[in-house]
Amino acid sequence: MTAGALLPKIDRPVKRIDVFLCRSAAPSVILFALAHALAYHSALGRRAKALPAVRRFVTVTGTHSGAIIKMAKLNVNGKVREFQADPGTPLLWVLREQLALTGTKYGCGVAQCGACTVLINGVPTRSCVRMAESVKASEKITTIEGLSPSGTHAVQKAWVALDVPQCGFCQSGMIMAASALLQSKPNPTDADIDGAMTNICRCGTYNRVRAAIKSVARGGDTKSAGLSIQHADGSVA
Amino acid sequence: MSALIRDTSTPNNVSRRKFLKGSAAAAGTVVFGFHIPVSKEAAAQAVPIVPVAPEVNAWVVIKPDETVVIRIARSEMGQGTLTGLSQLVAEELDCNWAKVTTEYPTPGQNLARNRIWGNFSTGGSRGIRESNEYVRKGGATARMMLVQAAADEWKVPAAECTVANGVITHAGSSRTTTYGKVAAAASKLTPPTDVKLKDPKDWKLIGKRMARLDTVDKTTGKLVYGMDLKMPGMLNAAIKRCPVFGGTLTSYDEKAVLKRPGVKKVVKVGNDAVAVVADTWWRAKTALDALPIQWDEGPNAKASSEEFAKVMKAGLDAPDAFVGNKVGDAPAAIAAAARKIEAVYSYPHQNHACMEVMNATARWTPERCEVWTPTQNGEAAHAAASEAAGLPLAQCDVYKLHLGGGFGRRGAVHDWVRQAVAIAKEMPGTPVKLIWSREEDMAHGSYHPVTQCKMTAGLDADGNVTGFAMRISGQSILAGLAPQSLQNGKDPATFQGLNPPGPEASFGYAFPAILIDHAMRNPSTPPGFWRGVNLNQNAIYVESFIDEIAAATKQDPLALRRKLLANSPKFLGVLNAVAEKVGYSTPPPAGVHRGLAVTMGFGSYVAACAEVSVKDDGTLKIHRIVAATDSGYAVNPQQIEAQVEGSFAYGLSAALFQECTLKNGRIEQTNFHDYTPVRMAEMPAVETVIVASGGFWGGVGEPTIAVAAPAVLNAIAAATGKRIRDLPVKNQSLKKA
Repeated sequence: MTAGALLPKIDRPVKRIDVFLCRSAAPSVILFALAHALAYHSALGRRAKALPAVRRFVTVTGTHSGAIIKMAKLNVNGKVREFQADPGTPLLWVLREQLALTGTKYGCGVAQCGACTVLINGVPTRSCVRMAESVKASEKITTIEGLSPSGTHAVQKAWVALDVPQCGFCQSGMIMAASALLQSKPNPTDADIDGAMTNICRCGTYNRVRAAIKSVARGGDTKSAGLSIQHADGSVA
Repeated sequence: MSALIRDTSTPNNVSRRKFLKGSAAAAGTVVFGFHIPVSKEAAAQAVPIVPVAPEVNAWVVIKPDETVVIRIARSEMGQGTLTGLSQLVAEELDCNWAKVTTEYPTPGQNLARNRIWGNFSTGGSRGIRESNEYVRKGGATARMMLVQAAADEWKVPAAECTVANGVITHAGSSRTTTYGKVAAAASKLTPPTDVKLKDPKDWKLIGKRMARLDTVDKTTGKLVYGMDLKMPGMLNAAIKRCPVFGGTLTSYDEKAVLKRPGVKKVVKVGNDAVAVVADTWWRAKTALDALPIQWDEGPNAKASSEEFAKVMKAGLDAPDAFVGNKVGDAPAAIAAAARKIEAVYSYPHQNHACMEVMNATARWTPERCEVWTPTQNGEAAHAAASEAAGLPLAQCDVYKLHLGGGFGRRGAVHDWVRQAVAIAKEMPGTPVKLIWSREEDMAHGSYHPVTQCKMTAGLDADGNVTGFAMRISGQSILAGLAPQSLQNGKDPATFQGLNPPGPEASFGYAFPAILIDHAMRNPSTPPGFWRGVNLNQNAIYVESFIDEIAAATKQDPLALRRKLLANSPKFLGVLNAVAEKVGYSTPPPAGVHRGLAVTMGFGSYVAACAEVSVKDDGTLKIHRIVAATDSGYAVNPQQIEAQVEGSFAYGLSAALFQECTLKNGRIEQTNFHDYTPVRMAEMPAVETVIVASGGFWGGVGEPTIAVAAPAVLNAIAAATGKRIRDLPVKNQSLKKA
């Protein structure tokens, strides 16, 4: 549907969510940051122990003000993007909230469902449990928005031809996992597909996901899937 | 998700009538369009709105560039209703399908126009079956007006004009025009009153395997789900509600988190929840995790599934019960029978676990409250927002965003909308997006009802059933959700699939004496309409027990069903279709065993045959499922197949793996690691037969779920000799008996 008819004016990146951080030179903020840093250190590492990523990050970067970090860089979809986030922030939430790339979804936060799957140097990665600061600026992150400039990657074309998505919420992750599988194994067996496609879909699109992956392996032959789907342009997949 | 779904938060009719009276003057002058006001200035105005193009009627807008905008009142949540409803309108409109696009009217607009789009509620597999007639009429009416406008321009009788693909032709004068050119003139005409719908034999779009209209943006990440909404100046909220049902919030120490970066406010929400508002959700969530909170766990602090199972067990023989279906005197027939067989089954709580957790964005000012949310029922969300905002409906509206799954969770209870509005009310003018964590979503579901069931059959010396008794003991959905809908205390929805003959969800088997009743026993867990609703467990109980009767009387399960369904032709139709497709007359491959199930619900007839094998160590493999659906008319067969496959994924997830158990008053399962859905490797091949016998409109989103579990349970029994009577299967050993 044209959710677009409803949304184009809203669905634009917010300039910078961390307005507070951008103004960090303001005296009151510095005081706040100092107070926060004192409070943080007076906890004597109790929280740091609970959150090892925080401690590691603080040590490595030498930033001081508690959970606040300086600008960091990620290479996302071929562009170097600067962002600010607290140590320990998962890559998922940096992508969604700092970089406005909301095609990558939150489903579970514990690496179970795969809705947050992105590629890091081509490797499918559950971004909900990957700390953003652990990704080097030299590592190439690909999200669903960057899979192809026009949304016409072979996997996306097969997904459209065979009407794979139902609600669609898990499909960004499915597509990223499928594209990685087909990259490493252009002719995956059923067992390969079972092993690589561990994403959860509550609507139950698994059989069409499998059919679409196989159609890509056949060089884009969707007809063999036998679904005979009639598209608006008159074509039949 | 049943036909009995009620909008529990809609104000009563009196207040709605009162409102309509008050807004009658405005209703005549509403100018239409569907923009969401995004600036504060725009938001301050009451649904303002610059028309994109004049509507031909409420269902159809045609733009000068020939774009056909079809208005959809029901919510798309993956089930394909948006495309199916569009096919219905477009069929009668005779427009160019390639130009079709869709939009949602808001509940505020619906109310202002005297509910011109009818019911927004999307549950009970009712999207198409309940609204097909009036949406087709909407398309036909628009077509007649467009043709009339062309005829008026040409000064010829409309009857001499023909139309196809949005092009109007007057053969006599060899003139043609298009919908886009005459739409403005058509919009000024008085709608015709005598509107005839096409004969089904003339359908060109209905019944075709059309591609969905909403697929492309789901493959690029562009589609905006509720959780993805971004608004200027928006803040984010994370929430925790007392994990014990019925418990309340005692205190929290906001000083512990207020100085964390990005944290703006800590808000008490109602009497049982606390939220942290921050610039980003991750900061809100981590601050909430660090917030010291004290709960008063209340009277249910010690409640457990184990204890409640005892209560239900006692109900299996209790004298108090509501009767759902009675033929003859079943207890007497059973007492007098030569032989009696009896079995007790149980079905657990389950969470819907939509892929997208509950979320809503709300903006509140003393004058107006707006909510952006994925909902199965925009009108119920509107009412919930109005109540929580303390503002009349006319000063509130809800903008539906795409749903990352619904399954019944987003239809009847809008607890998350109330929370979002309550939080936004503490920050007037600022849009606040509330997102539940998965853990919160698991802790506060509206759970599949929990029941036990005692099945009893009396048999004569030849193995014929003389009396059939079914005692359900356990939870009522309506008692928990909408007690005003109970009928003298009885919950009629409990008997889904067990009712006397009728068009909705009837019992197909002919026994000389039948008694089906329900001893209502309600736990502290809040129940909800969980995709398939009560048909799920009722079909498991009945279909498993039919196989138990077959085994006890040494009959083939298919032959027994055919005999008992001899006078239920639609049941027989799907059963036979499955038997033929699976090749029932020839044995399955070595080591593979079959199980059958058939039922009726949501106006449709469904059957399935599962083929499974069980290794000696108890490992189950489901090789194939053949399924048949008779929904009368089949609007989009390829989407029916998608719904049937999805129903097996949902139904098998529940049957094999999923239960929500209560301990110390709270749900024990917290995320997908201990509430496991079926994944790719466990998903069987599904072959779907669509039996479109015509003449009625049945639902397709839910009924097949009910045959998923019993078909597999019957196949497991055939493979192992073991009868699984308590779900989920994961709790049982399948090692051969």
